[in-house]
Amino acid sequence: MIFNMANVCKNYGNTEVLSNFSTSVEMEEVVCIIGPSGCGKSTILNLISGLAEPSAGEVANYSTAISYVFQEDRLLPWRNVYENIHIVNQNCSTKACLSLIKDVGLQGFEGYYPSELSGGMRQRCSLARAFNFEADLLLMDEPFKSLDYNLRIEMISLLLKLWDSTRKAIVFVTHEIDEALLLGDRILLLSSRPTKIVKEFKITAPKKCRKLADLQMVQIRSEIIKSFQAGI
Amino acid sequence: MKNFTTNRIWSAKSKKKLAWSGQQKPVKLESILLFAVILLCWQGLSTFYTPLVLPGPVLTFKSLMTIFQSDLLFSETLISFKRLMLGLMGAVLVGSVVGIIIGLNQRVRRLLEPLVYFVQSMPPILYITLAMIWFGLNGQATIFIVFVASVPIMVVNIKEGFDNIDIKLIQMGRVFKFSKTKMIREIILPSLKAYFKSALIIIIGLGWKVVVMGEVLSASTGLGSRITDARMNLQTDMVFAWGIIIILLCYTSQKVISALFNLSTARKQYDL
Ligand SMILES: Nc1ncnc2c1ncn2[C@@H]1O[C@H](COP(=O)(O)OP(=O)(O)OP(=O)(O)O)[C@@H](O)[C@H]1O
Ligand SMILES: [Mg+2]
Repeated sequence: MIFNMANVCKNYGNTEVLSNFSTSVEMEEVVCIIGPSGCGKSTILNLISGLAEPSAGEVANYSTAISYVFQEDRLLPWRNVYENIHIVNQNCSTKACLSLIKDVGLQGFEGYYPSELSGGMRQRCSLARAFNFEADLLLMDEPFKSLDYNLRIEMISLLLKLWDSTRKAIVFVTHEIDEALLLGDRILLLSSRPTKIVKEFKITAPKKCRKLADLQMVQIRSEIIKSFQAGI
Repeated sequence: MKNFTTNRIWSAKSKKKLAWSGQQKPVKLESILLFAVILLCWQGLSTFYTPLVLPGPVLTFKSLMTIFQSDLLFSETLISFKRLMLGLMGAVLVGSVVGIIIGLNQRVRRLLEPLVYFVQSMPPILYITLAMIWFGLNGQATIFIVFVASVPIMVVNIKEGFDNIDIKLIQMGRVFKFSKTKMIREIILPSLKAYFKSALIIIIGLGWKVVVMGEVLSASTGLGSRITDARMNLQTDMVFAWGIIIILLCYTSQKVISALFNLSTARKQYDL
């Protein structure tokens, strides 16, 4: 186990975001979180990363370092793409850094500043930065939003490749059911506030050879959609 | 695009100059016209008064030439400039340190903030008078008043900068385990830069005015003392001429500061 939270409550003023929320993340596990907007997904990631403190309950973090793809890119406006990625890991060689930039499709833009990039490019820069940081737990908050279909597919396979070679535990927040189906060992379906885990799906098929048309995938997918339609 | 060399990463730097020179617009016809109209009005008005009350542009220009031909211009400007710089350097140093401490520490802020506003509320004539009593009629009084006038502006601006640091970037730094120095160098200082710049532009403008005011009242050297001399000798045209020189100095130094900062941020000025 790399992370565990038990009976966690989180309030912001009078809004109760989480109450008695418990979950855990195992080593090498990819946990996908799906839930309505505003239900507290980012809050959960902030609790895991230690950026937010629980109002009550226990949070236990056994990781040595956590990397985070924030919901917003949070790049340094005064640093260019290369510097923004290099800065989190100064031991990283120029070559490794450049190949990472190439992986996320930003080659040719190394010298550009965040303000000169599109939203999706900034997002990919932030993705590369998170990959460059040496950590055993990776938090990703809607990392592929504002990317087109092809890029999304590319980024998913990049993430799978990365996971295959490093076996980092990943917590992946998304609104796209397909992303969760392709990446997750476990999918947590959250309700709106006060947030509970409505359903938990386990996907046993190895990530490399999953197809969205597989029976298990289709079933899980229709269940998730049903829950959404029922209004969670 | 594809053949990437490490040089490309830094190529941004070479583009900075280009971007900056691109920003300079040619002087517009309108502004030349406006300037001509003002000169004409001045000329027209001056015909109604004796040169003792309102010297015309021609006479002023002649006096300006006399000043340019004498050694006085350089030596007096240098004296005033030295005083200005000493006062400002002190203010920048003390102001930045106090501003940063106030920004970092809430307790110190509660303690020092009222004091800063107290100093800022003091009318300049009050501390000029005090400076004359304390330091006598020489340059020290001038340096002192530049310092006192500028410190609170520096502090308030730096503090404002601290209040506007993006907490999300700080959080990012925390997640990626930035050391304290890295946090300061990569996030805090760059965030303060714009505020530092505006403070510097304000105090250098204010500084020239205060230096001259101090010299008019308390010194026998420097640009201000020339104005006093001219007044005593009933040379209003000289008062005008020195005035124009001071305005130009003030304006130019503000522009220089602004340009220096733009030089280093030219590529980052796009809206976020
Ligand atoms: N810093 C904060 N101060 C006050 N309230 C907050 C804060 N952060 C989050 N909240 C509240 O917590 C709730 C959950 O926010 P959170 O950002 O976790 O939602 P989310 O599930 O990530 O939504 P989205 O899918 O839109 O990103 C929201 O109702 C929000 O108003
Ligand atoms: Mg969110």
